[in-house]
Parts: sequence; C-alpha cells; structure tokens
Amino acid sequence: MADNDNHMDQDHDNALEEAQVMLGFAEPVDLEEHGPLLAEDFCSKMGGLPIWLNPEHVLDIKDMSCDQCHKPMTFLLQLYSPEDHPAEAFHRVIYVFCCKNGACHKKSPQGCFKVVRSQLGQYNPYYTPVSNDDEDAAEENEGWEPLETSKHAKTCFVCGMYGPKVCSRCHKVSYCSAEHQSIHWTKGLHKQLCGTQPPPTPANLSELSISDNKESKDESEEEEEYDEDGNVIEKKKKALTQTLTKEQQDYANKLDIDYKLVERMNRFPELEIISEAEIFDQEALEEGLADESSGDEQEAEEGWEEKAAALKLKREKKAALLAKKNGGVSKSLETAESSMNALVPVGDEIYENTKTDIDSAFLTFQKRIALYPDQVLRYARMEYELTTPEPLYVSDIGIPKADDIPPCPDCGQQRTFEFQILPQMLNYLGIDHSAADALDFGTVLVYSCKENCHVEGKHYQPEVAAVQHFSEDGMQGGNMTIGPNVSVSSK
Amino acid sequence: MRRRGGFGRGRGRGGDRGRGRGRGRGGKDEKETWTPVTKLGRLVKDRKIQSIEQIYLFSLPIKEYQIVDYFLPSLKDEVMKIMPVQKQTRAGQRTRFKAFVVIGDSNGHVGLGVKCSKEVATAIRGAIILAKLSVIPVRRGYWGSILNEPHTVPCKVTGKCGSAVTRLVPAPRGTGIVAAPVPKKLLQLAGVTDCYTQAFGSTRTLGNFVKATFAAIGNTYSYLTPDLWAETQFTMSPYQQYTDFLAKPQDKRRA
Repeated sequence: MADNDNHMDQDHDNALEEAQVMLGFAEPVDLEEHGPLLAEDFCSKMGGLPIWLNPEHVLDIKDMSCDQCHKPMTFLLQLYSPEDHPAEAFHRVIYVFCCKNGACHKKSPQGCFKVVRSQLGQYNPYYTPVSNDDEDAAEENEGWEPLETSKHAKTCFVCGMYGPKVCSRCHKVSYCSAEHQSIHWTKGLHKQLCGTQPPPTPANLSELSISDNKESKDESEEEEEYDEDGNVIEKKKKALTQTLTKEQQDYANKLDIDYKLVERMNRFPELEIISEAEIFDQEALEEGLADESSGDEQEAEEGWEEKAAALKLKREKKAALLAKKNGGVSKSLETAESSMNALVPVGDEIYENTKTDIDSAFLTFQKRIALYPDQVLRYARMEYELTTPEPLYVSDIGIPKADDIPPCPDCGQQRTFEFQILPQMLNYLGIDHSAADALDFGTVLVYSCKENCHVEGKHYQPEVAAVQHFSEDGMQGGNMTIGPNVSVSSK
Repeated sequence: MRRRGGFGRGRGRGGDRGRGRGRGRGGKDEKETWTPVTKLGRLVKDRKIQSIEQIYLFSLPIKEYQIVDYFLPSLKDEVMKIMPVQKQTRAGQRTRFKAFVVIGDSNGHVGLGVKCSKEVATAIRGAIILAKLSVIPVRRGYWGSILNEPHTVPCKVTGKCGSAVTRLVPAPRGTGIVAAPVPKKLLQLAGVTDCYTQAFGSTRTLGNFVKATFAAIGNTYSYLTPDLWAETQFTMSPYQQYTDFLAKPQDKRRA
C-alpha cells in the first residue's frame, strides 16, 4: 500500500528548515521586445549556442567530448546562478552539455552528460555595471554592459566552442574541428556563401559617383527631379534602397537559412529559462481535492458515523464480556481489545490483501510535478542559512549514494546537490521520440562544490551529473501480464 | 532588463527575478494541458501510437494516467467501498480511509485502484488515478454460435487473491451476469454481458474478493485457446518503428 501520506508528513515537518525550490520554465526568446540574448544579460537558457560568461577563454572540444562516441557534445543548457560568498563567484554560470546520440546514453549514462562551472568576480575585464549615479545600486543595478577592451575568443560556427581552425578559403568562419567544418560546408550553405561579399549597403552607394545615380534614376519609377531637394533625394534613395534591399534580402535570407540548417543539424532549439519559486502547500493540495467531492464525503461520513458507532458498541460489549470471563488481561487480549476497537471486523483486517504493485516513488514525483506541470528544472540551492532540499527522485532504484559522487578535486569536500533537470525538458529539444535511440532520461541531478573553489588559470571547473531513469514497473495485479504472442484486435 | 532567469543565492541577482512569465497562472488552463514525462507519454502526445492495444501488445508499463485518459476518454468509475482502517498509536487511534475504485468503459477495459488516505476525497481521487493506471483489456467470447458480438468470457477462468477465489464461466446470451453485487459491478464495467460466477473463500473481505475477480477478468487474455495456436507475426514495438528492425534479416517479417 502506498504510504504516500507518511512522506508528506515528513516534508511538512521539514518545511521550516528547508528552502523552497526554484523552478525553471522554458519560454521562447522574445526577439521583438528584448532582442537576442547577450552575454551581458546574464540569462539562463537552453539550446542554441552557449553564451560564454568569460568571452576570452572558452571551452575546448577536447574537454567536452562524449566518452562513448568521442564526438563533440551538444550544448544543453546554461544557468546563471550567482553566489555571494567567494568573491570570485559574483558571476557564476553552470554549463551542461550532453551527447545528442541516444545510443551513447543507453550504453553508459555517466559519460554522456558533462557539467562545468565558470565564474567571474565583480570587477572583471569583461563587464562593467551600467553607469549609475548611486554607487550602492551597483548590486541592484539596471544591468551590465560589455567593456570595449574585453577580448573575444574565436568560436566555432556550428557548436560555439573554441574555434582554432578557419575555413581555408575565406578565412572568415571559425571551426572547432574538421567535422564541423564539413558539416557547415555540406549541410549548411557555406559552399555557396564562402567568399561572397554581402551586397553594398545604401551608405556605400551614396558615396558613389553621379553616373550611378543617373543609372538608378532610369531604373527607378520617379521622374521628377526639380522638386524640393529633400523630396527628390529621398525618392532617389528610396529607389536605391528598394533595389538594394532585394539583393541584400536574398543574401540575408541565405545567411538565415544557413544558420537555421546548422542549427537544426547540431543544436537544440534555443529557449530562455525563466525562474519562479515553487509554492508548495500541502494543505492547499488536499483542500482543493476535498472541495471537488464534498457532497460524497458528507454522505459517506453520515453513513459511517452511525455504522461506526454501532460497531463500536458491539465491540465494546464483546470486549467487556471477554474481560469479565477471563479476568486478568493478557497480552493477547490486549491486542484483541485494540483490534476490536478497529472499525473493520477483526479477523478480516489481517487477511485482507490490498497491496498493489505500484511505483510509489514515481507517484510522489508526479504529484509534486502536477503543481507546475511544465517545469523543466528544479534549483535547490536557494538560501545560505536553510538546508538544501533533497532532490525529487523519479524512482526507488538508481538513487545516487554519497560514494557515487566524487568530491571536489580542489578542496576535497563532498559535492552537494545543486539542481536537477526534469524529463519535461525533452519535449522542448525537438528530438524524434519514436526512434529507438532517442535521448531519454528520468532526471539529471547536478552536484557541485558548495564552496565554489576558484583556481587561478582554470576557467572551467568540472562538476558532476548523475542520471536516474524511470523504473520499468507498471501496474500489475497478480498474474495478469499480457504475453507478446497474443494478438490483440485493435480497432 | 531581462534577467529573469537567475537562480541561486546571490543577493539581488539570483532567485525569483519577478513573475514576468508571460502567461497568467490560470489554474484550470494548467490542469488541462499535459506535459508528458515518460517516453511513452511523449509518443502518445505526438500521436505516434494509435490505440492502447499497441501498448498492451508489448507489455509496456504505463506510468502516466493521462495516457489512459487520452485513449479511453469514456471511462466510468465506481467507488466500491470506503473502508476505514485504524492504526493504534500511543496517542489513540489514527484512522485512515481506504477507497476501492473500479473503472471501466463497458467495452473491454477495466481497472481497479486501491488507495488509503487521511481524507475520503483524497483517497477516492488517488484510487481513481491508480485504477486508470491498472486498466487491462478484457477478452470476450461466445458461449455457443459465433454470431453477432462477443458477449461472455471465452472460457472458464479463475482468479485468486488471499482466500477469495472467483471463477467465471461462459453463459448463453440473455443470461445476464449471475454474480454477487461486487463482481457484478466489475463485470458490467468490463463489458461482459453474460456470465456465471462461482465464489469460494472469504468473500466478505471485499479487497480480496474484488482483486480475485479482477485477476480472473485479466486471465481471459492470458489463456491460450485453440484459435490462438497459429504462429503470430511479430510487429514493431512503438519504440522501434523507424530504426534497425527492418535492417535485421528475419524469416517472418511483415510485408
């Protein structure tokens, strides 16, 4: 019997000591309002290209290759999770990479998710706070802007990691490996676009000679020349811009298609991760349910109260009789008495077999998720004083033990749970779930060093990801498995 | 100011950066949309699976009740019994309520759920979910001539739980369900029109009795009748449909 209520009690007792979990939701990037995501926004996102916190030193694919297939891993998500205590972790981003090939995950789940932590101090050579009159508002400020002197490393066009190689023809596009170069060449449009120049902008043309203006005048529909200067010039310019933007648009379209092809090939769709606190109210949950069927509840209670009272009387009478007969109260009688106080007839309760095979851990998980069904992330490290809540496991099996998590290599302390990725995220990755080798996991638990150890020169500290899968249990009552050699007529 | 995605303990920079999450927190809206968690759930939501029979054929575990809701929207539930159970504690007795719920569409699918909880409504709600998760197909057959739709169990089947044993025997058309109220309700929801039953053991224990009947109904598809003696052509599992199944050389392969 699923004793879910016991778990709920414990959670409620510890609610005062444990911090509330912060949930992450995936939402499309609002391009019109905010524009594309930039490094100085310090946002959390999933998919697309990684936005490096430290633009000068970026990850190399040597560190970020799948252990099974040895190909460069795909960027999954990055979380901006700043800390107060070590001054060097004023800006802090956790990057998670995963192998896109589901077969690697099936072979061995551990080497296919890699997590790194990157952090920057408050005063760094890359970002400066937007100038404010009030110095104290530096922490609560409006935002940051990039410093002009900050250096940027070359990044691969396909995956966004360090790109030391360049296209041998145009020397303009960088790549991290020959493989990505060939992907861009064959699957992208670089074959057509390599070496081509973007068509000249209106600014360029206005500097050109009068002869060009005359030609364009012939092409354009405007005939009047002697109107107000402003008008004529504008009209001319309009004509010019009309013909130009067509070419420019074609070129821009090609670039766009190129980008989108590569994106679909190698990256996950880009979405922003928004944070929101989880308001978990145990009583509200149960109250909500009671409101739905209050009518039934009352009827049943009325029915029972009478029955229960009658039963109780009966049992008490019996007990009194027995007590009289036997005199002294023995142990067996005590238990008999206590069981006689139960409202279910004595012998029956013991022989009732009402256990069912259910996956109670999964049901607890589902109940918790049901409050916010489309959450993709649960961030647990919320407060300094309060304890970090335990991760929400999806099954009883495969719970990582303390020994399974290697300690931090720099300070030697045990890594603690920071956040977990939920399987709802798989809905947003745009993968084909019907393939046998599709990416699939129950939950990914990320453990990191609590102290945020900082090592000079080492810009990316590795952290640990543990994967837990769902259990294979369903609901099976007794011997009711349906064998595969029974054809079921489907309509 | 788009830093709505900060997480963590950093003062002023991490944590809930404002609830600018676009859409409102309409409770109803969120309850209706289902975000699948398991792979099977995702396949069902993408409409890659056409019927629940495909799931039964491969014995895939159904972990999300919304899958069953999707394929069988016309399930009717029936609360068989609310049984108060008590546990003796130092501070008196702690009463909880155990709900037995039977669910079915009267056309070949039944489920049984049992849930214990402090409140009746919670127990019933939980039992309905568990009942949906345990929905099983029911095989119906004929007593005599194979005419019209199947109306009874295909053969004599039996189910046992605890000391309660239920035996279902095929009956001619028009007999109706000859059973005690408990198995009768279950058989009605299963879509069996005519059936004789025999019960043994302690049928007062409702939990065992209803589980025994449920097991008997489930055994209808476990029983190998002569018409199933022919070898079956294996079909592709929903997880395998587009991959290496076709690459493997096999003697019997679907055309």
